Amino acid sequence: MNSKAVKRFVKHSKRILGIFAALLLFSSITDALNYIYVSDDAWSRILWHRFYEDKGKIDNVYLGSSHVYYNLNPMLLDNLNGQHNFNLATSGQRLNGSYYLLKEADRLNSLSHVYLELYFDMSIKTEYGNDPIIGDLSWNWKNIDYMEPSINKMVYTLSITGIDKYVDTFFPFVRYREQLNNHTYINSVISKKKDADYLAYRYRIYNEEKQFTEEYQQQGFHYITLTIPDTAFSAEIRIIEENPMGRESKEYICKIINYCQKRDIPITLFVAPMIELNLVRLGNYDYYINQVREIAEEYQVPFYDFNLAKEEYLSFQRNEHFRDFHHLNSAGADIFTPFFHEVVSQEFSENEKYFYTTYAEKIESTDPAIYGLTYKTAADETQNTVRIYNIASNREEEMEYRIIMTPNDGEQYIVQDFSTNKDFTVDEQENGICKIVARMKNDHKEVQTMEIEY
Amino acid sequence: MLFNTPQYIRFLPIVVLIYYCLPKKVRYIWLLCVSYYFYMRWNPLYITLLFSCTLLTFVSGRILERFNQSSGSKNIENAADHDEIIIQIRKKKKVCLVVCILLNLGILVYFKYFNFGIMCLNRLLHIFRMNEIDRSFDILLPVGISFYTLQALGYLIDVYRGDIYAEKNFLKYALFVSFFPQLVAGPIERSKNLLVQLQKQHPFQYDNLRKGWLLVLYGLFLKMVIADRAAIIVDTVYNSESYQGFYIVIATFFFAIQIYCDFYGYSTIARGSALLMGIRLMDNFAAPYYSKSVKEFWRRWHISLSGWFRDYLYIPLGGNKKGRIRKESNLFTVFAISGLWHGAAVSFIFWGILNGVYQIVGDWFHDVKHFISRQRSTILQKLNLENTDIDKNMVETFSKKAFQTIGTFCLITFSWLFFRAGDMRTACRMIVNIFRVNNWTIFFDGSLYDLGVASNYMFVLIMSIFILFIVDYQKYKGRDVSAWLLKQGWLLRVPIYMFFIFTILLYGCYGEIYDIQQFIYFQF
Repeated sequence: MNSKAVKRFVKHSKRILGIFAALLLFSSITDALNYIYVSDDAWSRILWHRFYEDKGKIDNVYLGSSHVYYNLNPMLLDNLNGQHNFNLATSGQRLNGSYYLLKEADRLNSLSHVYLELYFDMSIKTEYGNDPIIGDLSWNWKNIDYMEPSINKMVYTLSITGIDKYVDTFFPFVRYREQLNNHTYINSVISKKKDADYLAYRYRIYNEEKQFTEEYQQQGFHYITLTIPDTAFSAEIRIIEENPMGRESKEYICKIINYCQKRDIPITLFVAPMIELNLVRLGNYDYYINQVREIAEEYQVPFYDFNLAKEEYLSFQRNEHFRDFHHLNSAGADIFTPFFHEVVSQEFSENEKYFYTTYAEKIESTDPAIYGLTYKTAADETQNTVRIYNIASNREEEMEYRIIMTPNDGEQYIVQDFSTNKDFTVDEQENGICKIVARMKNDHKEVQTMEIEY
Repeated sequence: MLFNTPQYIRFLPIVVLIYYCLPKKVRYIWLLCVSYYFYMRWNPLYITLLFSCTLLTFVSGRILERFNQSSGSKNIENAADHDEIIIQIRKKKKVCLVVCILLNLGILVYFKYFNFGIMCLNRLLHIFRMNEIDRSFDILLPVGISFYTLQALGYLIDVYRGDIYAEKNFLKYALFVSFFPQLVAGPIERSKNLLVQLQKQHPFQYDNLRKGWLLVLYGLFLKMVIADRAAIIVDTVYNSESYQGFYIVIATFFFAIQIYCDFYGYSTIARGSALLMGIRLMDNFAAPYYSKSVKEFWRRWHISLSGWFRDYLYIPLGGNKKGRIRKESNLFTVFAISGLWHGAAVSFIFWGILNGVYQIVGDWFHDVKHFISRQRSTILQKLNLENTDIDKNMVETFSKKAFQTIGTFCLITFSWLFFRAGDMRTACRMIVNIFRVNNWTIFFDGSLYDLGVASNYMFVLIMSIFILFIVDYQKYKGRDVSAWLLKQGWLLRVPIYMFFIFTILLYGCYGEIYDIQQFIYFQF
């Protein structure tokens, strides 16, 4: 080489070295800032760590929201079906998230079956916008922040957000800019990340006050022994209309099914069981079931809504088997998982006996019962915020109630004494216990007594 | 598409990448397409105005060029006929120029000053107790119309004067008028600079890329870290009637910083963006806040506009060649028009006039100073103290220079109050409110942090302003900081780049919690 060529070579090498140094420094500073500012989402971090640890071993993948990781115990399923099962389920997982997570699972494993949970809240239109997928970006961040670099991750990242959010998406520390000089926050984040459990991807706590254990176990199972207090049955009304599913949610369900069918991977759609009050408050849950069923029929894939399961095959004690209105606890998962296995391991046509056809049919078939209180918030004549309560039951027309309110700081009063059923209004600031005694109108036979915190 | 949005950050690299991938001969067509796309992102309909302005000035330029060629023709045999024809051609040229200017200004006046004109007329009618005109025209000001109109008219006058040849290629001329980095808020480029560059082909140069990128980065820093943060304080005080005393002084100081960083930031990003494609735009600012007089300030602030008014208005009016009174009236006129150009409101005109008055009074002081200086020299000569320490100390001292700089800054900042207030009533109220209370304690009791910028952000804001003044000082001294930085090894350069990038990411005003602020000069 002549001296000119050498000089040119040195010049170009320096230039490349400079660019490389810049990128290295940029990435190091980004990592450092992420370490300092980004608070840990333990569930997602541990889940993804274990998912990549199980790379190549996973046979069946269960996609969905927390309804999957609380309700299904994959280790139990391993024993039942002799395969390796994994809950690739994350809090608030939307359908677009499920799609890319499925691709990630398929990229790294040879999948035998895909199970997609379709909790209604993840796919119906919400007040945040026309479609929940656009409405909530933070749930997807919980995945992409912990996924390993891949083209799938890149496509997922670019698809979840418009260009306005790229900075927050690609630089997680930017989301925490409000904490920039908050030393207490920074110290707590750093000390948490130095913790032995953090480093070992362990999460197990015992809550002494409520006396329950919570642990992030293997294969994406969230073990929890918490139960619901008997008095915790009050929920806001969320009336759904016909065809409540969002456009993008529907598109992504179809994309997921198409993807599986193209890859010859069997797919099953299902809805995990919830507490009845959670469904009754929707007004007509069948609107949602019908829409999912239409999709399932169109694509010829099985769909099971375990909320329609007959009591003789699947029953839960609401104060024993649920951790809240939405999720089972581990005792509940131990009941649900074998039944789930039994259903999905049989042909679709063989399972009809286990389920009611519609939710209305199920309500009609069960004994008279009250499920709790539903309410909506409104303003009264003086513009004070009030709650308008209603008693959720399966025989409203046939039952009558005595309703006694005992405010925490006030005199007890009776709202209704087996007279005409009506909605009743309580000031939003007022809290206490609402005692409901329900009896049948025709023979005055007492059906149920319930005390609910309001 | 604002420069400080992710859309532009995505748009620019794509444009540059494709620009260098295309054959050199067609690159200008690509730039023209993206420039029109860039403009249409605001309001697709207003592209017709831009196109009309371009077409009108292009055709007029061609006609003027033909006149120029005819007047320079030597084919006329008779000298008397020759003079007669020349006079005829000049008349026609003038008519052509005036018609084109009037048409272009007509569009500008209609969109920018129509409502203001109606308002003024109604006030007059009200005074004379006549029926007012029902004002029901809702006209949206087309972005950048004041800038591209002046740029196109500048070209036309240059052709008229024979300073340049009229452009033959319509597409290249259209690009000259609409070149996206400087389309909406300048710099108001001269045909001698930009149009000439558009004729040339620009090969890829790594140094242009480096410097262009650095300028874009620095521009974003000025806009997002300083200007938009200062805007929070300014808006808090100016949008409320409850602030008095030093609050208004502080807010006006920050407005001086805001408007500078906002406009300088825009111009710097524009220069950087153009440089990425090998095109050099003029520098619109030369450390104006270091000026020692208002006259110097206007030589350093919005240089392209000041230069335009100087060359195409002040000098044709007679400049300073026709006596003192004429010079002062010219200055007064130019600054009043400059104020009106900035905005259709009395407060803008007053702001312009105030700056004109500053200069006129400055000239008087200069004369007095000159007289005193002459007397002093005579006295020192008589006392044989010429060229001694006493003499030198009296001529230029640091404190004197500092006093002049600070004094100029204060005068300019005071004028900004009218600019920011938006109307004379608010401006007068603000001035009265400054003197209502003596609340100097706000500097020490933490009250300033209640103006929307918390203590940590205030610290970053002050530090960033400090960096700005350091860089500007170097510029004032004639040193090119970006050129110096680019000569350094990457060990120094890279950390400085990182400093700017992460300061913008962490402390810049963007995202959901901030309203992305438009560039102030977009409204003009």
